[in-house]
Amino acid sequence: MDMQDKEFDRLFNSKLENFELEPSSMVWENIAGELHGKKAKRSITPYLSIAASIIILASIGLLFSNQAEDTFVKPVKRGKVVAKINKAETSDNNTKSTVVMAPEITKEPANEVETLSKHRLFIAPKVVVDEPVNQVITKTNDQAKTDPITINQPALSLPVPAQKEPVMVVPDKETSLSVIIADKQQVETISTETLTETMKTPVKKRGIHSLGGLIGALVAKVDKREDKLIEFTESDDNGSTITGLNLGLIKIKKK
Amino acid sequence: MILLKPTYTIAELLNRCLSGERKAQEMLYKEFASKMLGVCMRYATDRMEAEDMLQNGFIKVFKNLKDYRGNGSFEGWMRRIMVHCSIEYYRKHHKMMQIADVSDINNEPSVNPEAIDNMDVNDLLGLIQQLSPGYRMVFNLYAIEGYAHKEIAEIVGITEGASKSQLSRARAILKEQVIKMENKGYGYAG
Repeated sequence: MDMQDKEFDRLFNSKLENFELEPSSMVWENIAGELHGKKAKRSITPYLSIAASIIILASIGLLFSNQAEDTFVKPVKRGKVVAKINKAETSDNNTKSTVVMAPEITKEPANEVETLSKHRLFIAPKVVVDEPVNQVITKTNDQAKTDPITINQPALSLPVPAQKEPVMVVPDKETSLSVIIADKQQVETISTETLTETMKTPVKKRGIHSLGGLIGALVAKVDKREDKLIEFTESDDNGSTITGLNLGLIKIKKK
Repeated sequence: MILLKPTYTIAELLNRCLSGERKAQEMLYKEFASKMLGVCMRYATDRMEAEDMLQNGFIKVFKNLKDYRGNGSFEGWMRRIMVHCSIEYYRKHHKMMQIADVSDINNEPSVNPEAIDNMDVNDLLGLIQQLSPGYRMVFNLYAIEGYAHKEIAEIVGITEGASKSQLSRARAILKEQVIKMENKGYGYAG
């Protein structure tokens, strides 16, 4: 048996050991590609990742700019801010005061009716405010004289004046007018002392007295939703507590 | 295909390959590719698979070229890599090697040595390819590559005993097949 086995093996061996077969040309191409192509491949990758990063950043930028639902207002100084705005003018730079107009106003008045409780805290980066800052003021045509002054957002193609708009002013201790925005509708000169409160919904005090205030201000800049990601309220002794949280799925608000 | 290299020795060629010279690499490939494909054909089930094994084998050869110290022939070194790559490839693409065999062979038939000699190489190759993978590997490694059972056990990942029994079974099956072919080709053997 063993002899047979060994011979058997040997027979197979002698026939097959030197068996040769020419491979197809593709094999070498693949080998060469693997050996040298790697360098070429690697050079593409960095470009792809750079391009991807740019696209992502651009998308984020677009996303945030589209998020704007309300007027951007940049109050400048506290205290007396007086602005004169001509009627039927939509220019943004028509102010005497140091009020700075925010360029991004995309919200249409029709939607504003629903968002009357909205108010935004806007803080100019260079301004140090130690008082409650500003609120957006929206104006109603009808109530122009009787009500506190409300001003529509500019740059909106306001269709018909007949639209009633919410009035919302929340001055705090001393009122400091923040935004005055020109638009097609009538506008009036406003002085801080003439502002009266018309609060339809409770409004939070805002100020940068504390870390919470600062965080709240920053969040407000970015988060344009009605209920922000996180909202702070100042407690008595300049501390701040969280009064609101909005994580999409979870919404909590202290009133 | 035999490439005449009147002016180059293998050592020189290897040096040039190590420095990344593409032309030298191609020359090295062309020198040994056919032989190595012949090796791979015994481990694969068909030609396409064999060429895949060949490809992987050569890539590994070039990548590990610096490890060749010059002990033993270069071809032998290359062949070992080729065998390992073939087995590795097979493991990746096929189920674990089967150990069980259906046929129960107690009486091994006797084979006329001439029968095997007369057979065409391609037919023999075909017989090997028809073996179950486990038997095929072991038979190749023992009978043709010349490994010992201990080494085979290590390479394939089985015990020495399994290697021995699989070898026996492989031989038995092959003998059967040879006889069958012989009968077909040469008429009925008495």
